[in-house]
Amino acid sequence: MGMFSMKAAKRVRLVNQYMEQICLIDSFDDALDLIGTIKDPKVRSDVLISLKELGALRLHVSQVRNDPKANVLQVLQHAKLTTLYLPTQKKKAAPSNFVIDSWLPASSAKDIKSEMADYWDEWIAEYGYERALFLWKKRVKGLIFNHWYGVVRDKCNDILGMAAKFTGLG
Amino acid sequence: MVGTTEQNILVALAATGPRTTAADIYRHMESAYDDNELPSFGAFYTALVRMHKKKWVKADEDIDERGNDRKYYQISAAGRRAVTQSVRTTWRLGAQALLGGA
Repeated sequence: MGMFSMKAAKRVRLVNQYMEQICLIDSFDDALDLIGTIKDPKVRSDVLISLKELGALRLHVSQVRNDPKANVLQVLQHAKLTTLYLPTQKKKAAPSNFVIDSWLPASSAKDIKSEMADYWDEWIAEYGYERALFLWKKRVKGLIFNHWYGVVRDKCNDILGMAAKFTGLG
Repeated sequence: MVGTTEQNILVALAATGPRTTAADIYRHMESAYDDNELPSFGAFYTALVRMHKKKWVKADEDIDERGNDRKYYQISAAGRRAVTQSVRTTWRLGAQALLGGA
């Protein structure tokens, strides 16, 4: 088992060394020539797989950046950022809209939910989960408070208006 | 009578043009006004709904590219008249006060 781990670790190290050399090569054909010189078939196969992944990533980055010649450094940076960012992003779903549905009229709730979904995406990218959640809750509380404050104020105005009319003061 | 918040929203609506979402109007206000002049989003949205009831603002319901229900706002002719009158009054009173007419 120990022997196997040592062999595997050596293979990973070799693959990494070859990949480092390949990253410095501009032409894909030259990279293939270099891979052809690798004697160990397992290492060769692993380097080919890594190169294929790098190629796919390079294509993705050139499409995202609209730059057909995205360099290897950009590709690797993108890969690093993607692996760092994706697992955290997957966990952070937007908060439930139950509060909005329960406390606001249906005519406004639909629109508010869409607006808040947009804001959520923006805040998550800009501030991270904790701050985005704080801002989301603050804004929803503000919306609910202002809606009901407006309702109560309008009712009070109606009652005062009616009272003034009946007493002849209006 | 047009309040300050309502006046600011109507001016922002006139500036952003037709088919604008509430968030876009608020973003415009965030870029145009100082923090102390900017109402909270809750106060802004309530004022927008109130102005829709007063028919100063038109709201078209539609579905956006993500398939969500959206309201697209636009200033109405009545809203334009109300904000023009309000701005004129503010300017007249301001000019009188500052230039010694009052």
